[in-house]
Amino acid sequence: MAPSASAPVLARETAPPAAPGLGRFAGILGAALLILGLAAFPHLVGSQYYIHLVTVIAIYAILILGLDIVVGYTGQVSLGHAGLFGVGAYAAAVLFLKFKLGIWLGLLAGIGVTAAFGLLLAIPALRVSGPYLAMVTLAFGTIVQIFINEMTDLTNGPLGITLPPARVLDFSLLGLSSPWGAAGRRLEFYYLVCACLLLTILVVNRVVRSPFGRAFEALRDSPIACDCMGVSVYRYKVYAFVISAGLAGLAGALFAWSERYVAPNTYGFELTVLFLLAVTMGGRKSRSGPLIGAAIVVMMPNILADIELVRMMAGGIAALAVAILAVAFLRRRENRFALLVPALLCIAFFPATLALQSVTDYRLTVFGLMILFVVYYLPEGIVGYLREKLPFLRPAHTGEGRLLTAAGEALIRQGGREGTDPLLRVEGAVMQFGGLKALAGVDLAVRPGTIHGLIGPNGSGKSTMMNVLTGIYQPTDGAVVLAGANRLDGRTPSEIALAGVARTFQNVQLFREMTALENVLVGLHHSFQGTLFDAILSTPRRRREEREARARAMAMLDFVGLGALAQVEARNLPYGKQRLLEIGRALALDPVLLLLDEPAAGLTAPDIAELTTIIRKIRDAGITVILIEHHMDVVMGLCDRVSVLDFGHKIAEGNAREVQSDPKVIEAYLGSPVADAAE
Amino acid sequence: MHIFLQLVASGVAVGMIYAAIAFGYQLTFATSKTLNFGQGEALMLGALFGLTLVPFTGYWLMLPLVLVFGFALGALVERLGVRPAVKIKSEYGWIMATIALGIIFKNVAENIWGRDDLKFPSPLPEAALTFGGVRVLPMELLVVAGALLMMLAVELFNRRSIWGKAVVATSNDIDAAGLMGINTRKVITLSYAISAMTAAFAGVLVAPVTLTGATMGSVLALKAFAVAIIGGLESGLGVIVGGLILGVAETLTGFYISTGYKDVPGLILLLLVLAVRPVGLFGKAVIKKV
Repeated sequence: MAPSASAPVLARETAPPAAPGLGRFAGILGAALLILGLAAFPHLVGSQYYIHLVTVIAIYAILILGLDIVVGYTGQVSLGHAGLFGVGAYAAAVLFLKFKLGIWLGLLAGIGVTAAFGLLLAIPALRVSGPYLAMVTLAFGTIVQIFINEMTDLTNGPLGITLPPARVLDFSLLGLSSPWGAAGRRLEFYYLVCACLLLTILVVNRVVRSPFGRAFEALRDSPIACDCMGVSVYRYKVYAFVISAGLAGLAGALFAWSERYVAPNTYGFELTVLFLLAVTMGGRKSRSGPLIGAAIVVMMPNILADIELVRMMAGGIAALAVAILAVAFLRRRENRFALLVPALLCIAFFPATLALQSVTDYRLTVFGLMILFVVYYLPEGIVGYLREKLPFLRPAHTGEGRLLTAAGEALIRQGGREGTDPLLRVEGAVMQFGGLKALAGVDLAVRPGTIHGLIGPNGSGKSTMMNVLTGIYQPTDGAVVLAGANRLDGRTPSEIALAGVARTFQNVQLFREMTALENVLVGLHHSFQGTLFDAILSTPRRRREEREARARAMAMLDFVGLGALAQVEARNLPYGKQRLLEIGRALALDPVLLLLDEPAAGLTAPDIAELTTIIRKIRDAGITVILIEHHMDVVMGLCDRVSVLDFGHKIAEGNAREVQSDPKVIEAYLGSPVADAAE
Repeated sequence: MHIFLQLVASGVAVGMIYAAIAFGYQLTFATSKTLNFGQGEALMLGALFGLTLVPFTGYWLMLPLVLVFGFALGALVERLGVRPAVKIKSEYGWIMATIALGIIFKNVAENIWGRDDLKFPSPLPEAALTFGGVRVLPMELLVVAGALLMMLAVELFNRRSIWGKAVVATSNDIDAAGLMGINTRKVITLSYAISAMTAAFAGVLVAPVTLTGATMGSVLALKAFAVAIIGGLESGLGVIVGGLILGVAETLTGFYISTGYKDVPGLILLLLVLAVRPVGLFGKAVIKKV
């Protein structure tokens, strides 16, 4: 539904603690400084050595920006990015070696071939996460290295491939000579890399702020909720990997032409760890972080080669550690003992550098120590730390489209099904876990436009039923049918969600690091038709869809009474509001059926009153509700019909009064009078 | 056929080493759902430490010292790399921290023992024994026996001793174990210590068969992970079968295709198993609760 012109358009105050405009301003300022700096650098510093250094930093930054999509946004550890980098480099180099094709086709091949490899890698990587994924990607990187070494016909094996100087702009094709002379020609490649870097920043910016980026973040925070919002975790992990791999390929191809030599040993485990160090140290989920990280890891070997400089830095660090430690102990800070070990290590580092003639041999040890330091004392990286200290650096994109409008009744789309035929039919559902039958042939018929209660003592199979209905469990036997013809059993959670079944969770499963508004926008993911290219090119369709979705999301937040909290991160909301936000997010799916799993659990009395009002409003809007709840007054007050489960069997069904007085129900909850008498 | 049997025989020895390292992964995964990404470096340090001791102590006396060394190393890794990350519930944290410790160990080893591969003196005669035409090195027999004994000893420890029972209890349900008064942190440290101990022991076992050097651990550890995945991270029998499959697959590939590709089948197998059956051949699917 497009926001109708007559609908009241509310301009909303969005005044989070720091004015969001400032953050955006900082971003634009940073971008301008970067462009100016990159453009002026070769003219300020004539030395080829430093220009080359900046080129390498820029190339690394391209890869690390891509790696950040996987590590920062989707929260997966990839140890395969050096392998992908190598694939890109070899794609470009082999193209030249075999077909004498120059840098431009090399770049395209680098992106294409590596993205394809990313897709290949995603297949095993999809089913796993965490340490498994880390090992899979590590195995991938190792395989790549072995193949590069062994396929001598294609890659020249351990000898490597040497490339001539890159010919970026070929004026001779036009019969002209270069307008900027030989000295200018040497800078062509530098500017090409800079352009690629800026382009990468732009693309990554647009992707992470699009529905794709939101899906990446959502699948990190709660994969299961992500699937239940109709956003297939499976598919978006592939997207993240492929985009990330494409950028790694671009970086690899540029690197091949920058070094003009490729050899298998460059692309090993050490490089992968370096990339990860850069992304963590710089700060994830930012554009400036990878730039800073890249600069640090590229310059580090150069700094370490200069023993005097290292000693000076170690001295500085030691002095700082002594100062921090002294302050902590004098003021009797809480953390003074926790600081002791790292501070002593920092201090010990100084005499160690004095004793050593050269630190170069201990380069990897220094890197290892840096990783440990970053992991434990700077987990959000340099940028994350600065953002925490300086509010104006916080990202402004959550406040994008500052004029947040709530387009009136944009709430209900699919609801409003009337009639007496059941909307949802469950026939003989059996769910068996080993020897335990959590559901032993349960039938259920839910009439449209009603609130259907599902109650029973703990362990009676209520939540199992919920999981069977939403596809998280595949039922051992039986059928689940929506709206007369739509079989749900055997389909994936995201398919079921898109068919119109939304749910909330017993223990809140919000996307914690995203704002309330973004949480609802993930629920609205199904309303976006735009492709990845729409996102990258920022087409009119993409902008219109975003505008409409934001308006609807605001309307939904208003509906659940969270309009004023739209820009607050979900993890910072009070518990009661988190429950309501989950309902709002579920409504964004435009469901015909909404499953609420103990929505009142842990809520205070006023919160419960608000909740029951909202549930009634949802029913009145035409959405059918299944309610699992332990608060009997809520169930009795709301439900049109109640089913009672006990040990996987349905023992009673009827309206609230009937069920309440059913002796079997009383027995299930309170125990049998006969058994009590026997005691 | 003759050659085939010969290849299988050598594959078995390598496979048992993988099994021993994979067994170490299982130990820590069971108690804390974490793995030491520096397991290969624990193996390498064990081997190099043993090599340094051999001239002073001889091979057999060196073994218990290496065990103690591995035990201490594992406890150190757990304290420095894993415990702080588990405390803040950061998966990324312990993965990166154990990798970092691994890099540091490798780099330090390079600086102490040099970058070149060293020859580890074999305690047994180097002449091969012949069984029905299949030649087997005595050292290979020692590898198989040693790895099996090691695993058996740890299993016995888990079943019989009170600390072992604490390990098993923690593996089954860490929260319940904690509520029963078991110091689960100590148990996790213990599991890391035993895990690194098996790795260090595997290092001195394999060192006379292969060459010894700072880089010997990385590939072994990765392939042992493949074995742990193929067998299932929860199954003791699984790692032995997985180890044998992989060891034999490797020697066959090395002979029939090319030694350069010898490491490939294990890694491909790893990717395949994860793509098709992530819990491994012997693992049980876990139902996640919502």
